[in-house]
Amino acid sequence: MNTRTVSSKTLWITWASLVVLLGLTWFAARFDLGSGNTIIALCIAGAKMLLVLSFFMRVRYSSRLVLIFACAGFIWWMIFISLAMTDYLTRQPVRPYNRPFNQSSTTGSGRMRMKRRGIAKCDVFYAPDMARSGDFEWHDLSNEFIR
Amino acid sequence: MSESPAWLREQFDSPEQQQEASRLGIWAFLATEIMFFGGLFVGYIVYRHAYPHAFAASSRHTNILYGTINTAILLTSSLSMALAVHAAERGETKRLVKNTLFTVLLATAFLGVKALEYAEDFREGLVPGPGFSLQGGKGEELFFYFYWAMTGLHAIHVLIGIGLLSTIAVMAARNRFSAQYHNPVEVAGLYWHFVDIVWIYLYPLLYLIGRHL
Repeated sequence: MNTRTVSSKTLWITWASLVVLLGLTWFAARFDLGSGNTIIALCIAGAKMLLVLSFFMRVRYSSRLVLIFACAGFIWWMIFISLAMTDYLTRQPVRPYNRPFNQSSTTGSGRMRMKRRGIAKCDVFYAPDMARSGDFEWHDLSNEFIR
Repeated sequence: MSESPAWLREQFDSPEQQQEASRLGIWAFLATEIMFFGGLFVGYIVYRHAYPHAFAASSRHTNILYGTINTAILLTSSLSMALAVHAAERGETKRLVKNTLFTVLLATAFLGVKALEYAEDFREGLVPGPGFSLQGGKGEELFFYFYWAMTGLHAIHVLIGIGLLSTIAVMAARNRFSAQYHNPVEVAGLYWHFVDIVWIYLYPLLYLIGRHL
């Protein structure tokens, strides 16, 4: 019935590779590699996931239809994260009322109203970490939108 | 007219079709599970982007020893589950029961280690709310909201897995499966491997990111 099957030797090799990768990711996390820490950790997690998917879950030995079903969830999640991050990654911190106005960011009548109030950007500031470290002050503009 | 076996449901033409249908069914379910956990992962990414330092600093307060042991336990349980399916395909009932029970044992061990870890987290005041012990801003508390929500949801999945696999073990011991029919074993196995994959991502995101600090 199931002609394309996995041998138990393959399963044991998969497990050994997974344990080696676990050791590797644990070891790499002890060193300060800047953003490299996250990249290495996620690459190793991705490799572990592919091993589990291919051999334990047998996507490699399954029909094309199963492969499509297996990919569908990941593809929708990629769409989910891409759309979410295009929003969050392009938000900018809000300048406080008393800062000089930035000429380059003025278009439209909404922004002209904000210009009268002395507000340079029209976004809700959501990253207090940046406020602490950088030269921006905390200023929540959510009330400005309601009016 | 040829006699069709009792395990072949009437809506299917052949055992192959029935097997493919159950595979597609569990994969469709797992796709919804990806979106279920995916929401938490996207939330984690958004707030880690907002509070990078607080998230890295907070992850140092999780117990990496418990986390690593639990990762090893789950990876090994995935192997024993895959071996159980391997045995089921060959109609080796004894090996199927043994491997399934071993998987249940490892899953229980995982929850045991998690319980020890949760108890320690409680003692150290890592639960967001009035008794939260970490200094700093909202970022530290947000990290631990995600820690509890994600590991908690995962633990519920492990608990469900224990129930499923125990049922499979009992069914197998009663000779309900054969080399021709073992779809429930395969479906439960796919669910279990998915639970393993979720932990494969939780481990670096919750335990490793600030380890070098």
